[in-house]
Amino acid sequence: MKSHEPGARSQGGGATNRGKGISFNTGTRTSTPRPVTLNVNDEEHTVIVEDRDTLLDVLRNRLFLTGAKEACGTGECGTCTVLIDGKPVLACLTLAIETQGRKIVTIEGLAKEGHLSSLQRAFIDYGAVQCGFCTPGMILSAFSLLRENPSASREEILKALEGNLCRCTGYNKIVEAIEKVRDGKGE
Amino acid sequence: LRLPRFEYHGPNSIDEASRLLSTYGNDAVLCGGGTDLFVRMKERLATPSHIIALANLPNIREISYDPLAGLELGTGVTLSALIGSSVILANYPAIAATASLVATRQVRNMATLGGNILQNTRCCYYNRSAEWRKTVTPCFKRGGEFCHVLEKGNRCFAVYQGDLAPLILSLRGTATLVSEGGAEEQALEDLFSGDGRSPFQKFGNKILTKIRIPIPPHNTYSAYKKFRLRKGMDFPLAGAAVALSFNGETINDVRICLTGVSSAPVLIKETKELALGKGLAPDLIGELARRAYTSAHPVANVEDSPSHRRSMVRILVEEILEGAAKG
Repeated sequence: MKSHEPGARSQGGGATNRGKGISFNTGTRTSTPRPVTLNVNDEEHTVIVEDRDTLLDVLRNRLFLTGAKEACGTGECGTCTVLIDGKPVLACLTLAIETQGRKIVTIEGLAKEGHLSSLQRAFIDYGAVQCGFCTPGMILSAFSLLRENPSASREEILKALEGNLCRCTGYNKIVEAIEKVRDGKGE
Repeated sequence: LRLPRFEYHGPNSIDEASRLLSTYGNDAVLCGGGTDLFVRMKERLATPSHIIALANLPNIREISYDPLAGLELGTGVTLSALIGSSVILANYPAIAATASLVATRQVRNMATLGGNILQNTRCCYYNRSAEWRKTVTPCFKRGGEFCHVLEKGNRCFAVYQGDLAPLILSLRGTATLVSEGGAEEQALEDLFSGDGRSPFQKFGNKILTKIRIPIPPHNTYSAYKKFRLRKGMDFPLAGAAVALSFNGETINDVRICLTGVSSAPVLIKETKELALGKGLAPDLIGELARRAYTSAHPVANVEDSPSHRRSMVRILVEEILEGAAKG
C-alpha cells in the first residue's frame, strides 16, 4: 500500500485562483479532509482528500497518473474516462470518496510487464492516434466494450464510443484499430 | 474545473437522509449519480454546502417486477442497469430503449433514474460558464427579473429535456416520496411545477425513492423518439413518447407525452377521447400528430429553431404511430 500526503504538489490552482477577477462562491463549508483507500490498477493507495475532490483530481494530482485527461471537465468529452468495476465512467464527475473499495483501472493499468495491451498496440500500428489527448479514454471505452462483447459490430463500436470525442482523426482509424483487435489482428 | 467546497453525507437509511435534509434545509442537495448536479456545481450554477448521496440507501438500486403490481424501480438504479435488466427488456422494452438514448455510455453508467427524472431545466442563457454569465443581465433562473429568450416573458422558460419522464408518464408511472413521516405515492406529472426556474414541486425533507409503472393493458405498444443534432450524447431538442393500447383492431387508450418543448413534460390532452374505438388509420395518426404539434410551444433557448423543433414533434409522433400501425 502506498500513502500520499496532501500538498505534495499543487492541485492546479483551485477554484479561487481560476478566472482572474471573478469571485466564485466556493461554498461556505470546508469539510475536514479524510483518508480514503483507492484500488487503482490493482494497487492500493491511501490518500487524504477533501469531499469535493474528484477521482480525476486525485488520479492526476496525487497519484500522478496523468493518463486520464481533463478537457471539458463537465462530462461531455470522455477524455477522463476510467473503468470502475469494469465499467467506463467519467472521473471528472466522480467523487474520490465514493470510489473507496471499488476497482479502478486507468490507461496506465492496461500494459502488463512492459508490454502494451493489444488495443494500445493497434492504436499505434493503425495510426489511430494524432494528438493523443482522447486516446486513453478511447482505449478504455473500447477495452470495456470488447470485454463485454468480443464480437461487437461496427455499429456497436460507434455506440460505445459516443462519449469519447476526438477532434483530430475523424474516428475512422480509431474504429478500424478496434476492429482489428476484435478480429484478432491486433498484434 | 474544480467543484466548490461542500460536506459529503452518505446516509444509510431514509430516516437519516430525511433528518439531514431537515437539518440543512436549502443548503443541502440530494445526489444520485452527480452527472447533472456536479456539472452545474462546477459552473457555479449551484453551490450547496451539503451533498446527501443516495447511493447507500436501502433498496434504492432495486428493480422488481410483479405480474400484478407492475414494475418498481429504485431511483438509484443507473441507466445502464435499466438497459441491461432482463425483466425490463421482457416487459417494458421501451424503457430500456429510451435509457440507451440518454447521453453517453459513461454517463449512463453513473446517472440514475431519479436524477434523470429530476434533472434541472436548461437554457442557452443559463448553462454557461461563470465568465460568460458575467456579461449578461441575470435572468429569472439566476434570481433576476428578466428573460433573455422572451423579453416580454414574465417567467422562466428554461426547457426540461429529460428522456425517461415522458415515457414513464405515458405509461402512467407514479412516484413514491418518502420521509420520516411515511411514504406517499403520486402521479409522476405532479412532481413538475411547470416553471423553468424551479421545475419541481417543493419536496421539503421528502426523498423520491421509487418509480412504479403499472402493468399496461394487454396489447400495448409503447415507444419514445427524440430529435437531436448528433446521434449520441445530446439532450432532446424535441422528444415524444406514446403508449397505445388496442382491443383487437381498435384503440382502447392512447397517451402522448412530449419533452424538450416546455419547462415540464407535456401530456397531450384528450387523445383517448379522440382515438377510442377507432382503428389506427392514417387520418387518426395525422390528427394525433397535429394535436401534439399544436400543444408544443418551444422557445429559442436551446439549439435549433423553435419552429423546426415544433415540426419535429409532429414527425416523431407520426413515426411512432406508423410504427405501431405496422406492428
